[in-house]
Amino acid sequence: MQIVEREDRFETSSGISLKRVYTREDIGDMVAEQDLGEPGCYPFTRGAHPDMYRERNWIIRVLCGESSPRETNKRLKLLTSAGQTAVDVIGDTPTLANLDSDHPLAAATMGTQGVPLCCLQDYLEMLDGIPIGKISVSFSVPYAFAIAGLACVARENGIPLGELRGSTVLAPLYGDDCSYATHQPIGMRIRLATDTIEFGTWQMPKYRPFLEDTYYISEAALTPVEEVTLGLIEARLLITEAMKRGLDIDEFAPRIAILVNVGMDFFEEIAKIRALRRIWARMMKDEYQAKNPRSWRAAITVHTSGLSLTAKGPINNVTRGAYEALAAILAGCQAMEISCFDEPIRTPSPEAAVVALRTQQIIAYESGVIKVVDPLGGSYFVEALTNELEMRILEAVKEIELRGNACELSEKGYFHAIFENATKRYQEAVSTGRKKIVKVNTLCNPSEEDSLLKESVETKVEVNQEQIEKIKELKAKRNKIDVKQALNEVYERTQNRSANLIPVIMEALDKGLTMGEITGAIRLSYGVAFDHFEMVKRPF
Amino acid sequence: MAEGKIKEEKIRVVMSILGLDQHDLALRFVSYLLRDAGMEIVYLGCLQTVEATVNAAAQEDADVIGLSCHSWEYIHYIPQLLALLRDRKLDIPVIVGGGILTEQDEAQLKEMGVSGVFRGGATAEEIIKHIEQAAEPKRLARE
Repeated sequence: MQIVEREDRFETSSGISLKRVYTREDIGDMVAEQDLGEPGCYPFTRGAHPDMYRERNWIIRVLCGESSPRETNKRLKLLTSAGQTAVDVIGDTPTLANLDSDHPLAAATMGTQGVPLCCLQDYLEMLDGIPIGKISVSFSVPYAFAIAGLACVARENGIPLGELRGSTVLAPLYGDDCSYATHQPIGMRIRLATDTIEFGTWQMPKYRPFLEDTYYISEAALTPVEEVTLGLIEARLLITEAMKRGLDIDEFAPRIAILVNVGMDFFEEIAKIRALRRIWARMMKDEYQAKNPRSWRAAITVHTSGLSLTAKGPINNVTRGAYEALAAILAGCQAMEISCFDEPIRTPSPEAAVVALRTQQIIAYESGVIKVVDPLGGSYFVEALTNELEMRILEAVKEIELRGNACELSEKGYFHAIFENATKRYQEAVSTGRKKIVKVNTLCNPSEEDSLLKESVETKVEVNQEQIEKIKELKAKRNKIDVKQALNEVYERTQNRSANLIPVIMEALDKGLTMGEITGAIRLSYGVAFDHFEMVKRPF
Repeated sequence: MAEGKIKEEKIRVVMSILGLDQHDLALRFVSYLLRDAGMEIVYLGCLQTVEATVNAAAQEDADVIGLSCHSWEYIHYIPQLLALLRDRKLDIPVIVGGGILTEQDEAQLKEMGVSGVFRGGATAEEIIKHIEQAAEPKRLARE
């Protein structure tokens, strides 16, 4: 028989000590009218909307991207026919590093962990037949290119930019420390992020060009407190940058969304989201002086934790995803993707993607949890935990901001050290068994379920050579002088530091330039090599 | 005599991820484990090439090369790495770890000449023990 030791101390994953039971005394200082309010009302602790899921469900979707834009298009259509209500795509590894599909380093990985998107044709092929004027299109793709690519596709199809919905993940501050390095100077990253916000605000009023992403950073094993703290640091930096451009807070704040991770610590994740909504509302109203209540209201989107899933016994990940998704719904999120059961091994197989969709649909249509708004509101425990998280997050934000400017802290390696410590702490907790994970350090004996779903989990995606050839041909077909001229123009217009680069990128994409080339021209303007790896020569 | 000396000297492991994949959590995770077990870690991290990894292993006189993979890029790079080690007559055992590796991948990698393969669920003890054994011939030869 396998014996699992009982816990001798009870605490959340942020290290908050938990009592045996909570009573009224634990929320004695809380003033319900001020701290909770009604759902849909300031400070939005109880939810963003008065009727929440009674009025409409959250956006149910699965993150998607594989092989080539055409193959990804097929997957998007499969998921839409299975009831997905929006489209959410992630770029492949080269795309996330701003490299073209024909870059020498892409040869071993192109299309195996996301969709390659490096030219306008890629965007057109991926979104072919997708009703982008009607459903939202969200991107985990280099932000300036995602918004420019979508806008170009809309224009080609005669869809007004004002009709576009969806979001673009912004990750300028931490990407280079957290598995998504672009090796761009921080000034260039911040400018492109601010350009994305500004362009979206002016041209795409229904779109969310400012999606603060705390998901991928928290996958470095940050605690929920650290996750939200760092998210707020980045969001506040970008808000300040947008306001420096002359944007009024109420012009862009209503279209900000926050993408958070939801891991296995059920109540802490719920409390985290509730605390974040309250912090956001107060910050917007009191500090940034926003007048529009829609600026106070944080739109929360969730991606359930990939880190919490295990390569061993992948079928158990379906259960993990379901609990995490339930926590996200009890917390009142506006959109969600579940990390699929094969996530520890590969990007989602079609089967895993559909199961992730079905899990959400079962919560929506069968569980009954959507019938009451904020069903956990007023729970002594949940409210006490919400208050505690809020306090800890606010203290941590203040402490970091007292240390100095976030960009400078980033360059000094301050955030890198936070991520390093988090990993070390997590490794110790798993190694010592303090953090229990079934089949990893707890109940590890081999068992029948280990091999269930093995086939779909273990099927490999091969590099799509046709896609590489397509990009090579596309480049070869162009007039060399025109390419040089166009790149030179991108460079010159980047030199003007007050110009917004999104229209520049759109024009360049229209002329047949690729992401790698356009990025290269912008990089040169910022004094760094055309290609970070110095494997591709500057063509102008 | 030789044995006594071997025990004093730390086992040196070069830790690297080949290609563009930047998921380095597991590499850091295992590096801490090995360091805590008394080994010396030459941490190259992610975005490494085959040449850079082999050069580092040669320059640092590494006992073992540890590679982490979270993407299928290893299929492309590991044969190149093993070939380069052979060409340069460097007899350094290579161990590969990664949750993405299947039983079949493990067999194929070992067939290619990889010394140890650690899939999802491998224990710290297994990894440490394997490295200690794999490093021994080279350390004895050094004496």
